[in-house]
Amino acid sequence: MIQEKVSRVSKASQVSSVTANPEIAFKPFENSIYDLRGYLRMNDDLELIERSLFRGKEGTISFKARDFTTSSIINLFEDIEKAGLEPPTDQKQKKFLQDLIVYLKTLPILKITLAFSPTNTFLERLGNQVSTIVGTKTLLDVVVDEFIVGGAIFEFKGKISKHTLDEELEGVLARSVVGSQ
Amino acid sequence: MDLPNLNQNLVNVISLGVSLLTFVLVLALLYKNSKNYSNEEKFLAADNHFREHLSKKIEELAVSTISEITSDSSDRVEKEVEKFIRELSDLSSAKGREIAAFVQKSEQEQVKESQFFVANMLSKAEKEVEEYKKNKLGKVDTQIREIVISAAREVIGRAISLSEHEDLVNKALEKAKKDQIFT
Repeated sequence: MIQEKVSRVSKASQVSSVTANPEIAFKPFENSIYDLRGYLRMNDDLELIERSLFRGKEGTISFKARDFTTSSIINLFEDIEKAGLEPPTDQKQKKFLQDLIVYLKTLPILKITLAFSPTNTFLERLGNQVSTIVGTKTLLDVVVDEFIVGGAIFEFKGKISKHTLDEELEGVLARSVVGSQ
Repeated sequence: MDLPNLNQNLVNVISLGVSLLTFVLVLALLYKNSKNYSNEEKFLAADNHFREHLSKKIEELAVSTISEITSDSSDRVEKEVEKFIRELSDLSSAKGREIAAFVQKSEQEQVKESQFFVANMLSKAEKEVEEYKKNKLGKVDTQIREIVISAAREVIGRAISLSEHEDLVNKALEKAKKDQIFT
């Protein structure tokens, strides 16, 4: 797990040379999303800021972006600005944004099929659990299918793990039919 | 009398003479021919008589010869016919026996074939019935299972609370971890 973290740090270092510690600077952004929907929303915001940011304005990214977005992403920029993790110049800020978009795109995704519509709290907790197990920030791609009755189906990097009540019901019924014959 | 008239008369006399002479010659020839004709007639009559006599003789001879020949032939033919009928009768009785044997053999073969066919059909029908029964039972089993699962889905799905769902997902995550899909 440590080795993986080290490799991710080095990867991020290759992506950006403008930020001293990109892993730390990107952390608030990756921590604020836990599923694919959240990632797509953030990606849209970042691309909008990256496209519209540098039009004769000076200052921090949150200051520049405030004019054309009210998204909560501004708070995240403010956090890294306070921590002194944001690059000072226009060019470096642009590069920082581009690297952040690329970095988030590389996050692994776990597809999870549930029998119910989960709450955000549950998804966040589940996302954290999965990220801990995988050893790196992992996004959830949630699909709701009532036919599985209960439990979940996980798909990760081509592997599938199915533990559903539907499957258990089938098993029980098959055993009872075989037993009756 | 003048000279031209004289010549004319002379020519007339000469021509008359020639005519008379010709007439006499013709008469002579006619006489001679009439004589020849009567001889020929006699000869022809004798010839006819001879021919008739000869024909009669030939006819009598032919009749007697033919009657002799036919008499011999009819005896021989009768014998031949009798012999032929006898042979034919023997042959037909032998053939009749052969046919009877063949028919009997065919009947036996047909009976055997029929029995074999019926046995086959019966066996095939039994198999088909068994297969049909199996298929139908299989379909009924599947339908029952689908109904039960559908009912169970409905009932269990409604009965499970949100916290129980979350708990089931957490348990599934633990099992997935054991399945090592995250490594």
